[in-house]
Amino acid sequence: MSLLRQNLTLEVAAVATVFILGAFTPAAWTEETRTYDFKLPDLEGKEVSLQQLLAQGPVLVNFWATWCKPCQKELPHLDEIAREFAGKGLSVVAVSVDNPRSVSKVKSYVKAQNYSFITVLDTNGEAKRAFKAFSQPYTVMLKQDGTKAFSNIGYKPGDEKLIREKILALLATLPAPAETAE
Amino acid sequence: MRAAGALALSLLAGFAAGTLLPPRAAAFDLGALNAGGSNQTEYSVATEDGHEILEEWLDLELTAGDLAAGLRYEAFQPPQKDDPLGDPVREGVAFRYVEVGRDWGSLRAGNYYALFGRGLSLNLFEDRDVRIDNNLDGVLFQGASGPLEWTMLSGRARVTSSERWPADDSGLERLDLLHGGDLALRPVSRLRLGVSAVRSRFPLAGGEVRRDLVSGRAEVSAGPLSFYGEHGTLDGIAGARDGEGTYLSVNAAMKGVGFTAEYKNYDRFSLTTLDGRINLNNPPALSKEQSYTLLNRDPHFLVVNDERGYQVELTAVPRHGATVTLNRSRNERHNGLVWYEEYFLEARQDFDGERGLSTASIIADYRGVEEGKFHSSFIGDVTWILDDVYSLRVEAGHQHTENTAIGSFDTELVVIELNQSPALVLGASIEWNNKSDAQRGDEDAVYAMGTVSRTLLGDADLTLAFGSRQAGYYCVGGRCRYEPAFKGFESKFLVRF
Repeated sequence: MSLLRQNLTLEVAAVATVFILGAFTPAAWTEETRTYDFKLPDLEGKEVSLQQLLAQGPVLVNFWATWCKPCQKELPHLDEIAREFAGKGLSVVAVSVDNPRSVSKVKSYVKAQNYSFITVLDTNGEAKRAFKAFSQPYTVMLKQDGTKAFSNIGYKPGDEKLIREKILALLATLPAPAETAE
Repeated sequence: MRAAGALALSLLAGFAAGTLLPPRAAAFDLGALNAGGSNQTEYSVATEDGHEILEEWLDLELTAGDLAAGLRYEAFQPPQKDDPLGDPVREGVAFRYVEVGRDWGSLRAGNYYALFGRGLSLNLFEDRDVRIDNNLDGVLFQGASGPLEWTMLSGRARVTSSERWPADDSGLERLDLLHGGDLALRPVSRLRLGVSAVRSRFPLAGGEVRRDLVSGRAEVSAGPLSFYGEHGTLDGIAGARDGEGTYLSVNAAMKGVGFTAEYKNYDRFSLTTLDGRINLNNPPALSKEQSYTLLNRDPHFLVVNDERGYQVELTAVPRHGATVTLNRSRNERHNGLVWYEEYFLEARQDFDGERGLSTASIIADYRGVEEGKFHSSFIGDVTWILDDVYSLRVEAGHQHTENTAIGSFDTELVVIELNQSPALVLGASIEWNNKSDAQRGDEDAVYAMGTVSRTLLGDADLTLAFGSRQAGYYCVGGRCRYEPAFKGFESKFLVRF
């Protein structure tokens, strides 16, 4: 058996195992304790710190690009989520991974669409590498401690409903905000 | 056997860490110690000749308080897709670093990426999809204080794993040493100024070949308007005239309308390692980034030594859910030869309903390239929502090609995808053309490919494909790599942990 075939056999066996186990692995087993952070400029050049946003509550981070067709389909749904949960403890951040070739088009696209979420520019791919967002769109829900609550690869119609359900479930675990005295 | 052992270990480590262990162990949480990484494996086998290609990347990162360290293990068999030698494996740790970060900034020793401005003077990045990785190995220091930000670096471009295919690769070490610095100042919130300087040194017996690139930039944002401008000069080699590069971008954006205009003029402005294989500066190309297969048949490749031109793009949202994009780009040599120009129009409508039509797009594109090729393309792209989980996407494309060398022909492409939210995509594509036998040569008349893509646990992605596809370019974000015609089986597995 050639070296390549040995490797391939190992790979196929491993992939098949994970493929099967993936369907039955309890969600709790996949919980992460790794934390994430970035500081990136927004469309006006002002620095946005993920840690500062996390201090206010969970953050939904979406990696996208102007040339990415599925991203263009998903962004309107993220905008709906951002508007629905505004003031309810959730921040929505769209991280544009447009490189120097296309970064000049980001502001035009976002402003024309009147999106309400925070848009930041990851022009040199720093956050993309940290999150392993090798393909777009890639959506990550971060808990307030900076660890990952869930993630979603790609976009298929219906994903936005699952994301919304998971956001509601996550927000339900947070302590109720203190009532303001009259 | 080292490659096989390391590959197996990396796969099993990645899988175990990401999916099989309890949460505390899965994330290697040892107090302040955090670990993470990813593993990507791509494999293909051609049915006609049994030619196999295996590519593997394993990234591991550790952080503990202010300290961070990471490495990437790579293995390629064969080292290059068109390698005539066939079987040799090239593997090893191609990227590793240690870094300390505090309030004053960060200091890294080892491999790193960096970007100065829009890349006119320096743009070091990895794009694995198109197999570009021009990282440097050395020292990187970045910091900020008040309105000032700075980057200082020094290092050498690596010899990539794919370059190490000769049996005796001892002479491959790249001797170019690069030093660079970038300083950015924000005197007021809407103005940002920057200067960059890069020096490349290649030692020779009687001295060295030295090249200096210096650039300055300004960025202004005022309400709906923004501007970016950068100009640089590059010392000529051996007394040759200096090179120059200029990039300008103007942006106007408000609710319902966005407009971008860009201009470039790059004249003898390419800074590479002395062997010409590693690009160190990568300025904006000013062409539309396409993701449809037909629109990447003759993509634009930037020639930083001799190119000028412009790109304008208008995005309009005339009503809820409707988006119209118009793009025009033109690239010419300094002798006036227009070698690449394109007109692009896309009209897209997103629908709100829970069922039925979800998105409909119509795309028209015309481009002419230097070699006497002209492509007129029309694409329709429609997505239907079948229920809460299932949706169907159909893409139909037609392309008419006028080629002064071989004559005209038409190409048709149909793609059908059945999506199951959130984890499964079943896809099929078929492509055919009306080339004559003389035009076709060895090419097939019909290409058909089936794909299955499955997401596992939200952080792993497996794609399997079987069939055939036409030769062409695979492009991501405007960067492309050539893929020869292929018939066989392909797999790609990516897990993050």
